[in-house]
Amino acid sequence: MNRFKAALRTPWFGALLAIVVLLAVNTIKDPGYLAIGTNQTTGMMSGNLLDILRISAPIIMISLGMTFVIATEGIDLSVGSMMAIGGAVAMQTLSSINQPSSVTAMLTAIGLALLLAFVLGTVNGILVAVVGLQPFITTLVMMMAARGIARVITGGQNTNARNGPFNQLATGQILGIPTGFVLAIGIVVLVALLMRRTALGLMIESIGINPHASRLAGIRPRPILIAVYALAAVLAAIGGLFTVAEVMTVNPSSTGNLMELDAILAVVIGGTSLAGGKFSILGSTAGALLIATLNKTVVFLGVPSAATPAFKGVVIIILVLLQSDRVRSLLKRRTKSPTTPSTPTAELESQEALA
Amino acid sequence: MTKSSPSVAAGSHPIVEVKDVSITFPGVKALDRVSFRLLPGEVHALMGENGAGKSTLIKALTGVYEIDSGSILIDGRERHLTGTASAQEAGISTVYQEINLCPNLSVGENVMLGHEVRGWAGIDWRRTHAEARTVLARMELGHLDPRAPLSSLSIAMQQLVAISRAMVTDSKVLILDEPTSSLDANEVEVLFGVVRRLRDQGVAILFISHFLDQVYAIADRITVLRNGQLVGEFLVQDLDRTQLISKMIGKDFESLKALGSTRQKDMRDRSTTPLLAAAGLGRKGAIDPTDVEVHAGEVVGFAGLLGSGRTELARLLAGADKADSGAITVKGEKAGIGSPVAGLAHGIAYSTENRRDDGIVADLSVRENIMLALQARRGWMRRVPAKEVDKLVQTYMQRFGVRPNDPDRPIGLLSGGNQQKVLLGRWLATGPDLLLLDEPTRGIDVGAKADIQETVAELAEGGMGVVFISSELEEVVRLSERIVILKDHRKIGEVVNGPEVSAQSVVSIIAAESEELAEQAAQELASSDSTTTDTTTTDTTNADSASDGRDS
Amino acid sequence: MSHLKRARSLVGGIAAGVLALGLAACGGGDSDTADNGTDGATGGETITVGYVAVGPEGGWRDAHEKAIRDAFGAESDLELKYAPASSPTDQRSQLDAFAQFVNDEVDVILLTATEASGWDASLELAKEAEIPVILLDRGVDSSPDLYVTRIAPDNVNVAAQVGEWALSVFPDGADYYVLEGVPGLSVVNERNEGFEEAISGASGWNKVGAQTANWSAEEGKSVTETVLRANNNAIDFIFAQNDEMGIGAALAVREAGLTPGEDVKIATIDGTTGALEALAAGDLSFVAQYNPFFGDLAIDAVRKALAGESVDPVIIVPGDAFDSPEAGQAALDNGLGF
Repeated sequence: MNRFKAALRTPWFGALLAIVVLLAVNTIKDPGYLAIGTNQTTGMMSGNLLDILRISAPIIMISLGMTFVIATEGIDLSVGSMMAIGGAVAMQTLSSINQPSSVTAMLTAIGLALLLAFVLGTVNGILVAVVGLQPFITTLVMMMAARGIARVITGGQNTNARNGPFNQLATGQILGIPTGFVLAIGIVVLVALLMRRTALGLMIESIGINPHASRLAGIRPRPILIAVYALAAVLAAIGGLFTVAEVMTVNPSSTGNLMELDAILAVVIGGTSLAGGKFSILGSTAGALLIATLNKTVVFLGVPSAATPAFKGVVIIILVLLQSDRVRSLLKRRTKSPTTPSTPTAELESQEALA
Repeated sequence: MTKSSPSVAAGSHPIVEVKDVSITFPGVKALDRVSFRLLPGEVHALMGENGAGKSTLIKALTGVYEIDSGSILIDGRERHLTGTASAQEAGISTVYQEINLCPNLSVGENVMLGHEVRGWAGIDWRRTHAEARTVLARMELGHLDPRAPLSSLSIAMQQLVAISRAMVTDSKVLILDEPTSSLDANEVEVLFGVVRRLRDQGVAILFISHFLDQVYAIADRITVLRNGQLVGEFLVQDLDRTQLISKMIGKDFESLKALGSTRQKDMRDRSTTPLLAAAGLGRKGAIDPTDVEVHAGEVVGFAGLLGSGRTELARLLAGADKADSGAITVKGEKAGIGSPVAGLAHGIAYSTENRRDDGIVADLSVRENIMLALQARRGWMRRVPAKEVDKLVQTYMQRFGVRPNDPDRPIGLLSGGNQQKVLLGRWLATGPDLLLLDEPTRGIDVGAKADIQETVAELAEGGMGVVFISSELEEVVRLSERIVILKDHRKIGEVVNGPEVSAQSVVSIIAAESEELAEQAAQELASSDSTTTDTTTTDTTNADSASDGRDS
Repeated sequence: MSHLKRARSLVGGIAAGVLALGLAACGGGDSDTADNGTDGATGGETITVGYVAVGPEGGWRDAHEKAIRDAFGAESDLELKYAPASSPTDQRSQLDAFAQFVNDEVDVILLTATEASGWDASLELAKEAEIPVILLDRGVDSSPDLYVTRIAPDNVNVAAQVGEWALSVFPDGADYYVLEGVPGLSVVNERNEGFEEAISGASGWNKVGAQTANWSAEEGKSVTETVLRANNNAIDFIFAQNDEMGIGAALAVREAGLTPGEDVKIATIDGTTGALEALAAGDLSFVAQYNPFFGDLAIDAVRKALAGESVDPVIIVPGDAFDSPEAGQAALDNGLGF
């Protein structure tokens, strides 16, 4: 019971609960919703759940990077454009190499995409950490600049390419699980190890909570901030690779468009405060999965286009409200009031729940 | 000292009368039933340490804060001030330390801002500038060209322009909040000339300054605040500096005298290489170039009022701020200490006076707070092994008796005293040679205070050099072997502790009117075996910080 | 304080940057149009046409403006002065270029406005100078008296072509799904309107649903994938409002183990090279081109306007539609993609 209560209080629990509720609603609409089977024609495992996992891969990537930026009390509005950069470099490279089955071509494309994203992310970091510009302004400018660069790379056109191995990143499966998702989770685990096995995570949190105290304790904020923005850009570019690998085409204007908002939402749903400080990698990942589920649910339920943003907004608002301490304690009081009308003990208990 | 006769006519009618005013902020009573009066034609100094309530009182008078209870009478009428505009309308003008003029506008535009002369087609600039010229002439600033850009003037002249601007509205009350903090001695004289002229014209002037000498040079009367309460109102000639300081810090004169140190005469041999030596270390606006030495195993106290430069000096020694002059040698070798990282690398740890903003990392656990500085020393790649962390945490939590005994609790949920103990643990975990403790006992309970004092003595015994800074002079006197005395952003002396040194004798050095007297007092005190060093410069004031930043 | 200063210097920097851009834009506009002042004055036989254009914006726009310039370039008695905006959203530079053309007394002005509003004063100026103005593609919200005609393809018409094709392919009706563009755009509404008008009255047409895929291929794929699952693949026809969403949908159809063109037919609008390739490969079944190539219509309108003949106030550009792999390949071979 106690352990359950503890789980209830973790930030990602709400996200998981919301996913379960959405899946349940879908299952009510169609009892076969959760079924996973083998597609007779293609021989691949198929099912709605697998679709959700597959399209969650890019969202998980950008949310992961955004988590650390937000933990340092910053924000990165350029992740959506970084996805376009990743996609544009990869597609342009693959289309000029034009070897439809070459793994080397794929690796070259990935390497170049991540390299450019790393450089641009480092520029973000330097502007924030060394020059001292506001993260909001810096990354807003980068958001526009990076999309411009993506347009220059592709000559303003949609660029498509053929490369089997690259296409498999999104559409392949490993033991029935979408390759993109497996890779994304692998990267999440790697980054989590990097953060928690070294002191990087602690230092990021420390800087986010109290930059002055951290400086006096001998933490150098600059390299850490630069690293955080560079990491966010590289992860966003990986997200862009997953996205373009789906369709093997990049539209420099629309790829990753507005995805920074999804990333910020996923991070906040996952329990990392926009005011910086403690971060939750698990929470952000759960938040990203929730957004993927929500995107799919909207289509599955046939919510009209015009009402889609409102539907998403309502679900997220309910979730965020449920996470707020004040609403939680109000609900608690409400449920107790019929028997014990707001006694001091009830008050105390809810106070404890907050602590 | 050039003091003109106080022109306060006995029984003259106060222009401003504050009666029993209280202002409460969440958790703090910033002003507690304070009464205060300001007479026309006087310069009235408002004195008190940072946090005493000076700024709050000014903000109440200028309508920035609304008062919770009590009343403010201006010219005999009760006024409800709702903002600077309504205060200005009531005849109260304020010139702040940070000059809030527009440097890109002309002198005349600045003076007349908001009061431009309007012609048939908008502002008549010719007449506006002419009007500005007359206003400036009244302040005997007729030589200034109203059309020159403000930025072409010196800071002092800009300050005078700011005052001129305040006088455009024919103010009856002029509040000067730290007006001299960025002026040199000559500029201060020019400013004072203007102030005296205004006083003679019948303007009531409220003067706030950290500089005692200036207060005694210009003020007719003094009101002292402490901890949000009124201590009293005095004529300048009735209150000497020692008395003023004791009123500001809240120890009465006799008890200060009685608190003699029982400490044995210090016998340390200081011919050896000091652990740390600073020569001519200074930073513009914070602390004048200063020499200071700390030996291994020695506790050196920094004594001085808040804003005297004691914190600023400690921050330079630790690398928290960058010095712009002078050099530091550590164990005889030149050390470039321009950042806390460099300070820690040279074995210097600095525990800040501002525990909440610069010390604790509130949401991190006690464990993480203790290991933070050590981890930073090791770098992010090499995480301090869990075993080592556990050992450190256990050692320091036990040694200082941190309550509750839960290393995973966020430090923000601990009491102030326990937070301080954890922070002490953080710095000791780095194994420093020199520990700078800035107000380590402020705002914590008696028990924790004694624990920390004991620890300081132990650490010195164990060979560590310690710099101890505290507003409580008794504490400094009790713990220190030597006391460096600071005032007005400079070191004014240094005494070696001994039975004849007391909190009171330190206060009398700080209170001494001029440098020579301070030196004399220190020498008398230290007699044969104590040394007094003094810093080089003779011009008194050249600083622009010492703001009332924390004085809410 | 330091923050404030920093913010201030930043704002200053941006302001300076904007100013510099603005100056550059003005400079660009001037130099583009300055040289034709003399030409226009001396041109006895050549007709000088000022072209206030949008400039590089994307595939369709680039193809369209190139087509106009090529068409005018091919006529020996026409001289086109091309003045693109300094950015696709910079109306200021367009207004400047327009004023310069009026000043230089060109014979005709072609205008593709970046914004519909704010043209009244400029158009009146041209009317006073007796310079006819012809709008290409985008309209303006000024009075129709102020310009000769607007030549543009029509979204309703193009979408109706899709509807008519669908009626011929599915004489008994079909279960269909619509992939829409970014919600709220007039293009989206017009393309819906044209399609629905065409199939209205026919029986057996069942709209399973419609959802935005934000003009993008990956969202088109994701939406289609889920729609197929939710309906047990019982979708006969998908109307994608642009090529990319259709291409994405085709991928989803393939991954569901179905064959596009047989199990599910997909029709798209725009006619980009990518779509024509997909049509040639059999992934798409029908592509209606939102035709960017109407240089001839523009030249015709210019000549008529100068000759004082009457010109229709609205000229709708007819668009080609391609309904087979062969037609798609042929269109590609003829360079009709963009």
